[in-house]
Amino acid sequence: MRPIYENIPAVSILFMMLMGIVSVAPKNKKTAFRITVCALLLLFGASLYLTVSLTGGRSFTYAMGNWGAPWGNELRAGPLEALMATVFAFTMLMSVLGGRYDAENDILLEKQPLYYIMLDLLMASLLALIYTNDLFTGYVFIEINTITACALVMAKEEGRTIAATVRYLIMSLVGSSLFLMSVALLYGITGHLLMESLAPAIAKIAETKSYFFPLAALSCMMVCGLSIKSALYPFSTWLPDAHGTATTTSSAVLSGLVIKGYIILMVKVFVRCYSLELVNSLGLTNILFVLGVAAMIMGSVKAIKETHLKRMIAYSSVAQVGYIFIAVGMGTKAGLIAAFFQIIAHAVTKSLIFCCAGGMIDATHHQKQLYELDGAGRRNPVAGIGFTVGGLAMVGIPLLGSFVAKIYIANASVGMGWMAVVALATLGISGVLNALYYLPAIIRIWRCENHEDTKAEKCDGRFAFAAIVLTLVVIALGVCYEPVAKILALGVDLL
Amino acid sequence: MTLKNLKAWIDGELEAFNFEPDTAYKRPEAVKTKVAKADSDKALKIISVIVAAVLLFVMLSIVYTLPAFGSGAATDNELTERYIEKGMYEVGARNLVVNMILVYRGFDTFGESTVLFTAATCVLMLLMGTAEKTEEIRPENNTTILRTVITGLFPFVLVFGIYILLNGHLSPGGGFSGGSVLGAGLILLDISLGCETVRKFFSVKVFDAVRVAALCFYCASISWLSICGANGLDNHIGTGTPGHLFSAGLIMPINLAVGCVVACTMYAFFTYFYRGELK
Repeated sequence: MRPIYENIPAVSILFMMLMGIVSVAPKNKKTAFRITVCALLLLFGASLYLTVSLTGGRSFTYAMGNWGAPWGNELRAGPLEALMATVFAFTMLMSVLGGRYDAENDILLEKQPLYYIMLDLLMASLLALIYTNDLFTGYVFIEINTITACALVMAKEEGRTIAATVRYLIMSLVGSSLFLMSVALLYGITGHLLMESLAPAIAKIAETKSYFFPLAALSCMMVCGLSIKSALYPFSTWLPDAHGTATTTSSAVLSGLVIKGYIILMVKVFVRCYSLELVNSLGLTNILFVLGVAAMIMGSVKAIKETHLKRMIAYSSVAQVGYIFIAVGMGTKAGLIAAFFQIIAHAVTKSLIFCCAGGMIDATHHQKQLYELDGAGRRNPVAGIGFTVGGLAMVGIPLLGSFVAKIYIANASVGMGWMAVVALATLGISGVLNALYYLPAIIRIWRCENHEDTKAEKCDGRFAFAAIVLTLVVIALGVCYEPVAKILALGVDLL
Repeated sequence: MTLKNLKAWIDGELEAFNFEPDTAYKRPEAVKTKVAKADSDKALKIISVIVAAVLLFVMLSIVYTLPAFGSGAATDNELTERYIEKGMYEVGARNLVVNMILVYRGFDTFGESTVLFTAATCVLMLLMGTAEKTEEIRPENNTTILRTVITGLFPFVLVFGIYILLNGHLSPGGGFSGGSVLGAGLILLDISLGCETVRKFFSVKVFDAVRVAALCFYCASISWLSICGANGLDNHIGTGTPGHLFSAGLIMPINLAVGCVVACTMYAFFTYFYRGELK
C-alpha cells in the first residue's frame, strides 16, 4: 500500500477527464463552468498537497495496473512535476475566473458548456504531459491537447478566429505527426517506449554507433515537432493570430500553459531518455539556444510593430518562449532550473496580462487597437494595475516574477563561453525591446485627456478577484522566490 | 492552400487574409485573400521543392537504415515476450491485442476514446447554430431497391457489430471495429430510410446519455484497475477461463462501452456534417 498522496497524479488526470465527460449532461448552461471551477480548486489543493509532501526530495513512479513498468502505463512525479501541476492548476483557475465575463459575452450560450468541457480536458492533457513517464502516453495526450486547444480558439465566433484555428490546427498537426513518427522510429530501433527503459537503450546506441543515424534524425524530428507546438520562433507564425483573437480565457490559457506543456515534455525527454551530455553532443541544445535568441529578438520586434493590444501580447509570448529555450539550450542543470522558473513566471504573468487586457478592452467598448485604449486603465483600475504590474514584470523590473527568471538565466549562462556572451547580450537587448512596447502601452492606458471618458466603471467581481490574486502572485514570485527555486533545484536533480 | 497563401503564412502576415475586423461569422472559404504579387514566388517554389526533396531523402535513408521487419530490438525484448507468453493467463482474453490495448495499456486507450469524445464535441461546437439547413433527402425519393435492401441488411449489420463487440476478447475485433460497424449501420439506415427512422430510437438525448454513460463507465473501470494495481490491492475481478464468452474480467464491458462511443461518434459526425444538427 502506497502513501495516499502518491495516487494524486493518476487520480487528478482521470478526475479532470471525468469532469469533462460528465459536464455534457447537465441542463443548466452554467453548471459546466461551476464544475470546472470546483474541479480546478480541488486539483490545485491536491497538487499543492503533493508538492508539499515531496519537498523532502523524493520522487516516485506510479505503475497503473497489476504489472510493473514496461508493460503497463506509468506515471512519474517528483517535486518538479508536482510544482508544475500546482502552478498550472492555479493559472488555469485564475484564467477561467478572470475571463468568465468575456466568455459569457463572446461565446454563444449553447456553446458555453462545451467550452468548459474543453478546458477540463485540456487541463487533463496538460497534467498527463507533465506526469507521463511514457512517450506514447505523451503522444495520446498531445492529441487531446491539440484538439482542445483549437476548440478554445474557435469558441469565439468570428471570421478571424476560424482562420486562426485552421492555421493553428495545421501547424499543430505537423508538430504532432513529427512527434508520432519520431516515437515510432525510436520504438523501432530500441523496442521501448518507457523513458526509464529508453535511457540505457539510447545510451547503448550512442556508444556503439549502430543505428546512430536514425537516432540523430528522429531526435531532430522530435525536437522540431515539439518546437512547432511550443511556438519557437521560426515555427511561431500561428501563435499571434490564435492567441490574439481568441476569447480572454483561451488566450491566457494558451499563452500561459499550453505551449509550456510541450516544453516540459521536451525537457523530460532530454533528461530522462537522452541525458544532457548526449543532447549536447547531438547539437540539439545549440540549435535551441540559437533559435531562442532569435525568438527573443524577433518576437519583440514584431510586438513593437503591432497596434492590436492582444496580438502585441501574443508576440511578447513568442519572445518569452525564447527565454525558456535559451535556458534549455544551455544544456546544464542550472539552465533547466532557470527555464522552469521562467515557465512559472511567464505562465502567471501572461495570464494576468491577458485577463487585464480583456478587462480593459471590455471597459473601452471592445476596442482592441492600442491607440483607442487611452485611459482604459482609469476606466477599469483593477485591470489597469494588473496590466501595469504584468508589463513591468515582462520588462524585467526587480521585485517582480520575470526579473528573477532573467537573473537565473543570466547566472546559468556564466562560464558557458560564447553562450554566456550571447545570452547576456540578448537578455539586455530584449529587455530594452520589451520596454519599447510595454511601456508605451502602460503609459497610454493611464493617459487622461477627457475626464468624462475616464471614470471608473463597474468591474466584474470574478475578474477583479482573479486579477488581484494574480498580481499578488507575480509580486510574491519576485520577492520570495527562494522556496520556489529550491523546489525547482530539487526537482531538476531528481528528474 | 495555394502557394501564395503559404508564403503569407510563412511571413505570418495577417494582411494575407484581408479580414474586416470583428465582422460576423464568415466561412473561411468565403474570405477573400489578397496577396500582393511577389517576385519571390518563384524562388519560394524552388526552395520548397528543394526542402521537400532533402526531407524525402532523409526520411528514405532513415527507413533504409532501420532494422528489417520482424527483427531488431522491437521484436525481441521483455515487452513482447510478456505480452505473448503471459498475456492470456494474466488478463484472460484470447485476443492478445485486446489484452494490450485495454488492460496493459488501458490508460492510453482511454485517452484515445476521449480523443473521439473531444472530436465529436468540437464538431458540435463548430457547427452548432451556424450550419444552414440543407435540403433533406426524402426517403421516398430513394429507389425501392435501396430501401428494401437496407431494410433487410440493417439487422444483420447490427447483429454483426454486436457480435464483434461481444467477441472482442475471443477473436479479432473489439470496441473500435465493432463500433464502426454499428455506426456504419446507423448511417446506412439514415441515408436510405430517412432520419425519422433513426430518430425513433436515437435522439440527441440518447446520444449524450449513451456516450456519457459509456465513457464514465470506462473511466471508472480504468481508474479501479489502475489504482488497485498501483496500490497492491486486490481488484476482485477474475480473469475467468480464457476462451469462454464470460471471461477476461472487464474487457467485454469496456469493449461494449468503447463500441457505443465509437458508434455514436460516427453517426454524430455524419449527421452534423450532412444536415448540421442532431435532433
